[in-house]
Amino acid sequence: MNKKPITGGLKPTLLTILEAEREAETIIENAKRQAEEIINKAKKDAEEMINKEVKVEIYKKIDILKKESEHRLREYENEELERNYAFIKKISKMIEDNKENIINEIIRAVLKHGK
Amino acid sequence: MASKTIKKGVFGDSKNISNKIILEAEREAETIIENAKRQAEEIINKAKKDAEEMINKEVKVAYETIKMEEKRRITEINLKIREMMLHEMERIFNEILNEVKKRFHEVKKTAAYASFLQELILEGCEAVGSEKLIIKIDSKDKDVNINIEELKKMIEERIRERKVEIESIQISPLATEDLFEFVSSGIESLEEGMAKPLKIKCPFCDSEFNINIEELKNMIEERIRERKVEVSIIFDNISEVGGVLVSTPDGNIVYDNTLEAILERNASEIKKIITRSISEGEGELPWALH
Repeated sequence: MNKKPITGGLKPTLLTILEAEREAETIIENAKRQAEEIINKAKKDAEEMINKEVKVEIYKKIDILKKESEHRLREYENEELERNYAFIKKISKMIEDNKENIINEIIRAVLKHGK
Repeated sequence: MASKTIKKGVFGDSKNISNKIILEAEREAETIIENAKRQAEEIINKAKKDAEEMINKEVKVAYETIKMEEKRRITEINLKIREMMLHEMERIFNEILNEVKKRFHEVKKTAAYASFLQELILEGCEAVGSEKLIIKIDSKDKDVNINIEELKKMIEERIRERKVEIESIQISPLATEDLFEFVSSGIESLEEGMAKPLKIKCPFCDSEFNINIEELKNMIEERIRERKVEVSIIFDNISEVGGVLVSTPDGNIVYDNTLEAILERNASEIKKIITRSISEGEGELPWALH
C-alpha cells in the first residue's frame, strides 16, 4: 500500500494560493503606499494652506480694512472741511454785513481806553 | 476517473481560494484608501479651521491697530482743521484791525483825538512813574493840538497824585509768626490792621520794634509828592497810525501806548466786540484752541 504522493495535483494548487497571497500582499502594500501618499499630500496641502493661502488671505483682508479706513478718513476730512468752510463763509458774511458797526464799536472802545 | 474528479475539485477550490484572497485583499486595500481619504479630509478640514482661526486672530489684531491709527488721524485732522479755522479767524480779525487803523486816520482829524493822545501820554507817564521821563510822540501826531507846557504840569500832578497801595510785604527771615499770619491773611486783614502797630521781635537780638502800615504808606506818599518830574518830548516815527511811547531815559522801563500796542493789548476785548455783534444766538467764535 504505497501511498502515492499527490504532488502532481497539490503543488500547483498551493502555488496558486501562494501566488494569490503574494498578489493580495502587493495589493495591500500598494493600497498602503497610496494611502500614505494621500495623507502626505493632504499634509502638504494643509501646510501650504497655512503658509501661503493664510498669509495671502490675511494680507487681502488687512488691505481691505486699510482701504475702508482711508475712505472713512477722507470722507470725515472732507465733511469737516466743508462744515468749517461753510462756518467761516457764514462768519465772514456776518462780519461783512456788520462791518461798520464792528469798526465803530472798536474805535469807541479804543478811544474809551484813553479816557 | 475518480482521480480526475479530485484533481478538478482541488484545482477548482484553489482558484476560488485565490480569488477570495485577492478579493479580500482588494477590499482591505479599498478600506485602507478610504480611511486615508477620510484622514486626509480631516487634515484639510482641520487646516481650514486653523487657517480661519489664524486669519480671524490676525485680522482682529490688525483691525484694532487700524482703528487706533484712525483715531489718531482723526485727532490730527481735527487739529489741522482747527488750525485752519484759527488762521482764517485771525485773518478776519487782522482785516478788521487794518480797517480800524485806516479809519483812525479819520478819527485823528476830530477834536476827540487830541484829548485821547493826551490821555495816552498821561497813562504812560503814570505807568512808568519815574522822575525823568522820555515821551516819544509819533511824527504823524505832530500837528495834534496839545499844549506841551500844560501837559507837563498834568504829568507832574498825575504822578504826585498817585496813591500808594501796599499789595504785599516781603517777609524776611526775621519776621515773627504774628506778622507772617497778618500779611498772609490778605489785603482785607491788612486794611483792618493798618492803624494797629505791629510788634516785631528780632529772633537774633531779641530787641522789639513797632511797625505801623498806615504811617508807612503816608511816608511813601509824602516822598512821592516831593518829587520833581523831568519830561522830554520827542517826535519820532514810532507807529503806523499814531500814539506814544513813554520810557525812562535809560530805556529800562518802556510803556508802549501806540495804537498798534493798544489794539494788541485789547485783542480779547475786540474779539468780544466782534463776537457780540455777529454771534447773537450763535454761541462762541473759535478765536483760540480750547
